[in-house]
Amino acid sequence: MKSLFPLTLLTCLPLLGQLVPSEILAKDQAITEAQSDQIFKIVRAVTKGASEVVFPIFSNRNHIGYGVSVGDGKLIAKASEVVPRPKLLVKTKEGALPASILGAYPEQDLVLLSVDGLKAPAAKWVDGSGLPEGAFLAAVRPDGEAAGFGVKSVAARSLRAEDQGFLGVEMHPNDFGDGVRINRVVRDSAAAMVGLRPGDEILAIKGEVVKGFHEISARLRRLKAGETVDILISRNGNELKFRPTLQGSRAKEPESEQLRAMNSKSGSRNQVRDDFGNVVQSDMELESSQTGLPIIDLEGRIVGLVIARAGRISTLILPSIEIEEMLKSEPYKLDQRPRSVSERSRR
Amino acid sequence: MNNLIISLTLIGLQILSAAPTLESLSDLKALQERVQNVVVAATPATVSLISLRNGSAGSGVTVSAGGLVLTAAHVVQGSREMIVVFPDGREERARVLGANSTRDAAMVQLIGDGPWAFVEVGESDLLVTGDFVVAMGHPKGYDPTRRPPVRFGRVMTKDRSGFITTDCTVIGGDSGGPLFDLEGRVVGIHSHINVEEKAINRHAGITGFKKSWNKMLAGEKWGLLGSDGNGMSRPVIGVILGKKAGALVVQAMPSGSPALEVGVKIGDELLRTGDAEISSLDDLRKFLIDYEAGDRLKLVVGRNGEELEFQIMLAGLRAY
Repeated sequence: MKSLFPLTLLTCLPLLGQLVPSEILAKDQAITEAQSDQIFKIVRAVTKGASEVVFPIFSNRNHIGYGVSVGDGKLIAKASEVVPRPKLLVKTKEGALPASILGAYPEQDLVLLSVDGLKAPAAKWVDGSGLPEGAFLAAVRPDGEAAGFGVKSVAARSLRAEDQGFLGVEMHPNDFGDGVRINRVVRDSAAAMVGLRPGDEILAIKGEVVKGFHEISARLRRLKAGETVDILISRNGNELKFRPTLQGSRAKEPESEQLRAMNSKSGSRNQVRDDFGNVVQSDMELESSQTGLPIIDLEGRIVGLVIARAGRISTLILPSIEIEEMLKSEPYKLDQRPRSVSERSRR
Repeated sequence: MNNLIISLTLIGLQILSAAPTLESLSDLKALQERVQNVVVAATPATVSLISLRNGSAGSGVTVSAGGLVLTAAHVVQGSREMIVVFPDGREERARVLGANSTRDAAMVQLIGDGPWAFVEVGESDLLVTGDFVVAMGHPKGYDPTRRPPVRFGRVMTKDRSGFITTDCTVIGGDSGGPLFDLEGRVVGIHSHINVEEKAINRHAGITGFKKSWNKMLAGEKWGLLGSDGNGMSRPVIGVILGKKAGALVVQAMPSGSPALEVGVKIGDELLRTGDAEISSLDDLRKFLIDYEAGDRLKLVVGRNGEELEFQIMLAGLRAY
């Protein structure tokens, strides 16, 4: 049974029983497979550095992900996949070595592992923030093969709602024109604190004229919590200026049923996949058991680490600069902050 | 001499239509640069479209400085006006023009003064399996914290009704968004996916859009999504055809048949509809995708060595 989905976010699905997916003919399949082989073969020329610092991690003989060496016999790996699992073993050329947990970095969902007898150089993290969207990226396995190949789909950003500016006004999504009417002001919000009221019409934000709900929402969400903004409104025919200090958004929009269906059927996903303060999005196809792989650009430089398979179109990558910065601080001991990691994985 | 020219042209076409091959790292870097150039040019023209009626979100792409936007028919279904959000957050309104649902093709027109950022329209019929393509759109609806996510892939296959299948992964909200060739020309519009196959993402081919262009521009809405020209409401000329010595011959006509009404006879050979040569049922079916019941067109048949021309009005299959 094939499941076909139209791609709008509709409240109800049209009947698409008659939509038939085109079969991919063997001759077409052969062409694209040969092409993939060519690409993966070319990429192999630049994977050496990354392949020497990555190791598969097992728990009770199940492969649960990868870890990247940070020197001194230590690896970093995805915390929510590794921490809850018993009997961690790291496979190396010298054999399987037991690993123990030194601590965790809950902000990044990473764990620091100590592996007795591991001899591996530390990964050389390189800032890839200059790579434009559309740049080619590859995830590298210990054998030097690319596990995945794709592009930088979206530049580094925070996925956390609390990092987006929140004013606390409700408007009708279809409202459009000179002045957008506030229907409700959220209690204790930035808007309430400066005295914005229902019936006020928003004319401009930071001196720029705004003319619809979506435009206002976009402007505000691009600002940071804590930022003070000029807002021009019209009240009873008078223009008034307010200077609210934005809060962070309170609620994250839940994934719709339709999107969940599309995402969950398109392969495995990690439990912790959206709570990141700084990640790059790629269209690279990977499985949820492939977190922890180093990501390289076409120069072979390690520009990040796979932190989650998030859905059909999305693999999330922690940028190297984020990891370098993180490694300057001590990890939280799991018995000190026993709930921090598991809490995040439940959210 | 003429023959020679023809054969040379064919060779030329074969070279052009071979799937691209990559041999070295510098080939791959050159490809990367082309993809990045497409992204830069395509980003400002890739818009989010939101229905004023029910808030459902899809995508679209501007293809003229005057603000003509291409999208999928199922994105605009039931709406007369759409909210348009540009990647920079600018919000506008657009009027829904026409749609051919069989092709999942639609057009909307931005309201307000241009010029608008736009991209060129390409030709999907020239694509071959293995051609590199770039998909853009606004998956999950408009998100101000990002630009339209870039997806890279290849043409996996094409089908006879003009849809293209690629391994550029698309998802809810991408519908109506553009698929580009490496020249940055729109070659497809995201339509639907097989959720269990990451390599089956289907896009309405732009060549099909071009065939329906004038009717959509004039505001006509027709067709049925998923019918590929085989649906129960498809337009027909009202003949049952059979092959006879290589010719397509009228074998029967039901009562009320448009062809029967204008004087087509059993035994006539079907030659052309409109200006298209018809030599198989498949030719006729493909031709009729861009028409609907009530449309008038020219029908040319052969009878006793002579060509006869008729003007007929297409009927809906359901009328029988």
